[in-house]
Amino acid sequence: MMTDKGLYIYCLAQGNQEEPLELRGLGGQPVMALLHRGLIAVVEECEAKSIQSEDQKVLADGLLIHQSVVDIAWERYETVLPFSFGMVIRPMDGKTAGENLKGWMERESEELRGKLMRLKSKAEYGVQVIWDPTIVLPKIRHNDKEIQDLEKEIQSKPKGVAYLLERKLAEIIKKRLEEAANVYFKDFYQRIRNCVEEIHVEKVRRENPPKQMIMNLSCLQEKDEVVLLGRELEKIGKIQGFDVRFTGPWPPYSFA
Amino acid sequence: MPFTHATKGDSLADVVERILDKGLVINADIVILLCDVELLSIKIRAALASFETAAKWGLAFPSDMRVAHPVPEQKV
Repeated sequence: MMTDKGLYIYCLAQGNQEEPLELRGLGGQPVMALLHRGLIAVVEECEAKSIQSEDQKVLADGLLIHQSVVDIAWERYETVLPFSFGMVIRPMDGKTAGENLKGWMERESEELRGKLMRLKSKAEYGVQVIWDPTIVLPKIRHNDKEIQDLEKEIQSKPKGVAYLLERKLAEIIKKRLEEAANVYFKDFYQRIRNCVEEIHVEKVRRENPPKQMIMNLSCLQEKDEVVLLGRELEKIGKIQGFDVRFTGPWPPYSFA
Repeated sequence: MPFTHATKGDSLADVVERILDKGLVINADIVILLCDVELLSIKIRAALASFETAAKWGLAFPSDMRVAHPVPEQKV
């Protein structure tokens, strides 16, 4: 390996063979398996410098290739610790990038082995619950005396007063929806928690209005044991006004 | 039985959320970043906010994730 080259790193795994993955990575170079004392780093040789690309398409493709290589490595090695996008090990202090990477693997060996053990045969699943408040609201309104009374009052008042009361009504409805979302969140969380080993609550993403994401979870579970989770999500998805998105299996990015 | 099998990440947002925000990180001076990942993250999220722009950039995500290129008939 040339000493001035860097190594782009995709993931770590456990193993004893330095066989290449027979793939080209995001720089178009072969993806290699670098072995060090029972740990394998899946890497690709590259320039040891940052690129200043303004071409978003190139970088977005890079993301997809990163994910793709990690996926393929995951199939081969069964358990991987995926790296975040964009990390290049560089040569430094007279050592090659490969030597530096092996040095890091040596120093972190115990923790890395511990993580690999904990994640053995497990996969990450994404669970997102999206609701349509316009469908859920009539149910809330039906059970809420304060809202019903205010609606009646609005009908009986002159325009100016009615306008002010409508604003008040909108505030109350907003608050009730927030409360309802919170109640649903707690209920769903508990039900999902019972079906998986670990769970991370992620930031919700924007949906096309009026739909809103009220829950975004990353769940860790044995690859072959997601039937229970699937059944629970199916029940949640059947509630009127709710949709569930269930993605995976992913390499365990959120738990690495 | 729509939920007994998860669907493989079919949206770029799912990939971005994982690969840019998560995964193992080496906090040591032996590492340089391939590009300005933070800036990339902001730009891609901005693009995702507009499906139209995303489509224009060709960011629609293939259902088959295997976009890495096989090395044909050779061991390296």
